[in-house]
Amino acid sequence: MDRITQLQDKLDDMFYIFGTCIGVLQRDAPPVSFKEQNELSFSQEWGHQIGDMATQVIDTSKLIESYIDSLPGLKKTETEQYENLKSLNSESNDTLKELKLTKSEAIEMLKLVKESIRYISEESKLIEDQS
Amino acid sequence: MNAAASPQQIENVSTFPPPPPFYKLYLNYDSDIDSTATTSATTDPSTSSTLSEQQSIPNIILPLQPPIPPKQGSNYNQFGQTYSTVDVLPTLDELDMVQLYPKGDIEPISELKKLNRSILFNYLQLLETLIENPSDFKTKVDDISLLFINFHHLLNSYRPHQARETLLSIMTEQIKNRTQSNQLLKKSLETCKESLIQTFNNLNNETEEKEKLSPTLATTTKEQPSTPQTINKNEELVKPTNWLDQLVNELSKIEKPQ
Repeated sequence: MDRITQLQDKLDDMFYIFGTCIGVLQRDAPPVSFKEQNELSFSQEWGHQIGDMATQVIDTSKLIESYIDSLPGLKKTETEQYENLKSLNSESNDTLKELKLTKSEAIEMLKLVKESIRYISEESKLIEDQS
Repeated sequence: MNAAASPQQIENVSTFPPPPPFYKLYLNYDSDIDSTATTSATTDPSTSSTLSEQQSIPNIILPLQPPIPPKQGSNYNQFGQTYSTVDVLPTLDELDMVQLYPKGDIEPISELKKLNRSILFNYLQLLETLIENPSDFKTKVDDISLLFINFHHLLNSYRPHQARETLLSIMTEQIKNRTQSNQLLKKSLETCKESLIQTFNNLNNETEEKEKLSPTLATTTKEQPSTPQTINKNEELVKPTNWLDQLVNELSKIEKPQ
């Protein structure tokens, strides 16, 4: 999967986490006293749950930021990309020519090896017959 | 069932619904019906052979020619939806949305980071609004929604850029593979040449030793005509060691192909 799609998926994840967190808060949050609003006291379990939700949101946000940093080639302009493509294309053609040349050398070598094997076998047969 | 229901609704709730209208796209419907009728009229079902049935099948299921590809710049229908051949990402203005990042040349990474942080900040504001004044949630939700749309739009606008970058990486990989294959092939060729030269050197040494031991055997080996084709060209083959020189010559030719 490409980096942009991964980033978009992570963004959708964050949207989902936002909705889930608000839903959980609405469903499970304990009532708060009107008199002592500044001294919020939660049960330990609920406190952990809130902490987990906050961590999840922050972690996703951090992950998105790291994905943004690793987006490929955003520092290059379109012209630079096309120039790179052109140079790579010519380089690719050169390597292809070189590979074809080596292949033809290999074919010649194969012929030579076959002839040599034939020669050696004929030679050894002749020697065997004579001895 | 409601008596005032439209034909489309009736079609949807029918026990045996008719086939979808696009089935006619896949056969020469009118001519096929005629050919089917002719076939059934001329052949007796009881005496018809399997061969004749097989021959008539291709005529019936002959598909229509595929449509001509749409011209550049025109529209076409696919699965009931209209698409344009020119793939253009509509701007946010065209979609009646507010563009939160500046127009023109921008630094995409910094803009994306700004949007990401704005989303987080607006979410905190939404939570605060839900505590302080829950009825005003809509404004904040709309803001967050707009931020997400902007984020996705900015990312989508960089898809062509990413496609070019992917092409660059694929080409680099291809060049790397070709160079590696070339090097491997050259290395194998070198090994092959060395082994060949080594083998013939050994054979040459053996022949010389035999020559020393029994001169008659050496004379007979001189007489043998079956040398490789490349070696036959050389007239000095009468000497027992000449084929090795010839081979080395051949190898040197391979090393520097013209």
